Amino acid sequence: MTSIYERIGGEAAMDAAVDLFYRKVLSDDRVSGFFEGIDMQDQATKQKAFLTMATGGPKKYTGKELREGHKHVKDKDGNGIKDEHVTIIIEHAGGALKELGVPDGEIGEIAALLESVRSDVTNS
Amino acid sequence: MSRLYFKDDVYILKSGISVLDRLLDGGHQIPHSCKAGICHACKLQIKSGVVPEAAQRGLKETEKSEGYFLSCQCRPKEDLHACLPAEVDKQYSAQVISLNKLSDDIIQLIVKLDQPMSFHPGQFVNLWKRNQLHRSYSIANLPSQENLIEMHIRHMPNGKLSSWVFFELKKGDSVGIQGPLGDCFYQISKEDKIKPMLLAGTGTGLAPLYGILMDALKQNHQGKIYIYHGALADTQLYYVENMKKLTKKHDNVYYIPVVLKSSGLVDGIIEGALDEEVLKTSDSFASWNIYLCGDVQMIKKIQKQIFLKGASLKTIHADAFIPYA
Repeated sequence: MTSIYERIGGEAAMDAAVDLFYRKVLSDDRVSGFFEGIDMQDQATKQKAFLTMATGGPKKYTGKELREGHKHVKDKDGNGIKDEHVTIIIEHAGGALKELGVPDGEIGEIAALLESVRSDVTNS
Repeated sequence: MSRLYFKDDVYILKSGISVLDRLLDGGHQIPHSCKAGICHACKLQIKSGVVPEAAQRGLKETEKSEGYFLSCQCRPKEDLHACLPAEVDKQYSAQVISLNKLSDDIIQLIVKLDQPMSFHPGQFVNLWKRNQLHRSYSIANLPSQENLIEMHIRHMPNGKLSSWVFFELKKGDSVGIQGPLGDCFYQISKEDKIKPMLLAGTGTGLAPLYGILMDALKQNHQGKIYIYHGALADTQLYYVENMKKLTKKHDNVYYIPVVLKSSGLVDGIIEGALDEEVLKTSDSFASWNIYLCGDVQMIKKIQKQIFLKGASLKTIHADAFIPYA
């Protein structure tokens, strides 16, 4: 049983996925504030890891790593990551993967996986 | 089985063991995280030898040609000398060949190295004043038989190194050169040579861009090349005649000087903001190769906008000139 990651083309597909996903995120005022002033190439490497994990690829973060990594994240107004931001990010990840041809049923699976780390990312 | 050389150590690499694991085992502090070829933290550089294709998957073309590889994915079949990134650059002695004023506050410095240095125009070097002081400058010329390096140096207010270049340095003097460093250079596959290129920079950002342009033309780039040079005023532009000559010689090169306030000194100048003018070049930058050099704020602004307009992250090369604090 191959993973979604393998089915959409593995590592090579991740570059296209990151472009699509990151573009959606930066174009959305509701979440783009968290990425203000961050080095784009650095961020792209992290987004790739995120999408690799989301699609069942060879990258796993522990709950602790996710919590530590997002704990200090603030937007330009000093707000931390809230539930609505997580929902928006999950939507954009789904949107990007849909454009790469991932069927709706599997998008649902990916969303569920990302939902399971919601509390780590919002540090709640 | 193969041998792995790292710093002063030699290891026997048993089949299946990655370079990263072997070095960690040997007590070396190699940055790493995912061990899956994704995070790039474990990036090392080849000093000599060859790495398997899997060890370079996911890296930019420029990084691959510079010999970077992901040590967690590297299981070499042959002997390999590896090092931490940027240890491959060397120290050279050089002699000043010429100092030419390009504008009120920019000097073209050409030095001759005491031995050949392999580099790509667009990379940068550290220019050393004796052994005391150094700053980074981009390489504006193609490699030459005479081992010359051309740099464009702006006189910074209170700039220690730039003041030395402007007021003390003379033809025949000795300087130190360390390099080459950086990955902002022309490295485009055969299939992509017909795709359009965008080069945009402010001030002395023209130095690497000019070098990259010369390199692209030398390597027979067929696609359209747009080169934008931004400055505050006409008097801060330079190499205008050089650029115009290039556009006459190559019909795929378009030179667009952009200044905030024009006094009509230069023909064909556009008055406006560099980022706005650059973005007008196309409705979509998908499949374009982009090179951005110069002022940090402007470069980051253009980088983001051009990405949002379709440019792939892999094809955007940004070299922001961060002034010494």
